[in-house]
Amino acid sequence: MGVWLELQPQPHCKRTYLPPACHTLSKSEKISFCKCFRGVKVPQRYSSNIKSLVSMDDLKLMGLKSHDCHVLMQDLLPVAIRGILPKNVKQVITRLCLFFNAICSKVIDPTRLDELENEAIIILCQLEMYFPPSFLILWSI
Amino acid sequence: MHEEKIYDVVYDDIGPRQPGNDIDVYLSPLIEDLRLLWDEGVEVFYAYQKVNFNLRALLFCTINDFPAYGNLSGYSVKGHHACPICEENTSYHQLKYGRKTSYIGHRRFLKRNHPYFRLKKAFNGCQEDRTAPPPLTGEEVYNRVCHVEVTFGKTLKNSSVKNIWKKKSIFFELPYWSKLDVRHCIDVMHVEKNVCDSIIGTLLNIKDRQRTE
Repeated sequence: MGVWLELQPQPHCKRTYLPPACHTLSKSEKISFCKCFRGVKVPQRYSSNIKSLVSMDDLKLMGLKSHDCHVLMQDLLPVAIRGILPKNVKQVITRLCLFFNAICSKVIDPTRLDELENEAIIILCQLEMYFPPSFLILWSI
Repeated sequence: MHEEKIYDVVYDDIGPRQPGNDIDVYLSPLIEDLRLLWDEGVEVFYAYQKVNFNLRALLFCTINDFPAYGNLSGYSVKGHHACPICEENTSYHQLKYGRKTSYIGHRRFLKRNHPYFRLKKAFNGCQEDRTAPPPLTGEEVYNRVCHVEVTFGKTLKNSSVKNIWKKKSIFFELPYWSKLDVRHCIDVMHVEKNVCDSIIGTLLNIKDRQRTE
């Protein structure tokens, strides 16, 4: 099948056990992830009410507009994943957020641009390492 | 009754839709103005010094999202060779059961001595031996598109010749366009939204979000 060794189904006595991938969150982790967004308070006019986007029943974020995504990527996502993911996955997502932060900033130092380009390539490689290939389809990049 | 139905069908057919590849027709007045600004320039009054001067202008780049990139440049931005910079050297992998095309193999863009080149298991099972393809320059793109013939509008398209370049973009009528290094840019807003959607969809395991559009 071409599935990684550590992700292959393991037959236990009666059932088959499917090991979770490194980016899978357990239920309690999902609750902590959503609770973090639930408790966010932001300065006035900074963003829309993030609290109202979280649905604690389904453990989902619903109706994200592009500015909400911008705020999540810039500030909130690295905070929300603290302590719930494996270290390497956490690091990739944080690096991705920092990269977006750097290219969205009002002032860009031209001498840092080469560094940023290398950083982008390394992030892409690491995304390939930890996330499934369907993550890197056309509309997600 | 019967006639009404026919009307409905016809009306649906001529409803508003985006021009897509035919955007060149709508851009031609703009290009005309830009040519004037480049070739001759226009007389403009400078209010601070109270003098007239000759204003010239150049179209530096266009900023758009990725589907619009395809319309403006005339490149087909889907399928296996979706990257307009790498063109035929785009590295892709079509998933066997999902049938999606996934663009992997970014290791070749790293510096040659990077340790990721030697890793096997963490990536696709083999070491990377390719080097990064040289990016297409404006001149090369111009050579590829200068013979492409296209008729705009609703005509019967006889696709006898398959070409990944759909048209000679109207921007090439600007004399400096093929000399520019970066002609089209993708805006951060759309990319950021799509990336954010797919990360959150993957982390929270949301079915419809994993797909994103």
